[in-house]
Amino acid sequence: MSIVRPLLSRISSFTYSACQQEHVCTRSVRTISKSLQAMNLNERVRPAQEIVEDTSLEEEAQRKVIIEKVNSQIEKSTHGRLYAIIHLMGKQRKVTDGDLIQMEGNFPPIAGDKIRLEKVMLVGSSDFTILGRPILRPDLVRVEATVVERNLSYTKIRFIKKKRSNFMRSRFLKYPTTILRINSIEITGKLDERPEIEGVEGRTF
Amino acid sequence: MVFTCTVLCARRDFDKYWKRRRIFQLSAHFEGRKRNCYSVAVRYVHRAFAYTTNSRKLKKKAVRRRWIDRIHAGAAEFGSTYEALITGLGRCHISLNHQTLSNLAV
Repeated sequence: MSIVRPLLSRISSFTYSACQQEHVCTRSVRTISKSLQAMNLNERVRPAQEIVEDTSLEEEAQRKVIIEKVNSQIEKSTHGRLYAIIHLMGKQRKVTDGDLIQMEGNFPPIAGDKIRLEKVMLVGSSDFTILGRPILRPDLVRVEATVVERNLSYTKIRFIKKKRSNFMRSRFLKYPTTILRINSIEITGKLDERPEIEGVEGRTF
Repeated sequence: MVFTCTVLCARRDFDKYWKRRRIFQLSAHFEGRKRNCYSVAVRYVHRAFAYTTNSRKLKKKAVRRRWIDRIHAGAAEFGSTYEALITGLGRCHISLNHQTLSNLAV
């Protein structure tokens, strides 16, 4: 099935009639080119109908093959070490099992607390990556971490001086930092198998 | 009042030693008289403070420029460009930021 591009149909009606004639008047060519320029078209666009083939069926078949392969790896857990990109404290971090992460700012959990990191944007292994739009659904991936340490950062200096103006302001700041240890990243669900009701896990009514 | 020993607060500038100690701790890694002479060291320590505050803004710009270059290089490996990749990701609602994209590209 061929699809005709609708954007160019206006131009095609313009020039097709000109091409049909044996002798193309120079005046008519100039007016056509001027009108094309007036439309602000890219030089590469040819004023003719393009035939675009419909490859949606092939793409569907390819997609199913890939998803089957990934699901089989998930089932047998042969994917190996997983990495994930997590959105935490306003920042995105690339993370694997056993990583230590440091975060600055007010993070309520104290040392020893076990946490589940929910905002997972990407999960990957050596063979595949699963991208979330923008986040992966919670029944697909599970990232667990423990809080190792809560401390203050090194002293950060905020200093302004204007020379010869007797103006000098200094401020010495220390922000609270936490260090997390990523315990595990697991893919707990399969691709293309969404539950009937979503957003209910772990919630109490 | 009768004081049997010299009163410390009667000295003119009790904290002078400790004030200078604070500056010398910060100038310990400077060269020459900037390290040991107070009137010189103070000026250079203040300069160092001012550099740290200003460079925080500059660092963000420089680092973002580096991320963009790396993303462009990663996209060029697959025959694309930075602009095409970023607009494409935006349309697909994939909100990975420049830092993570450059980490993945490297």
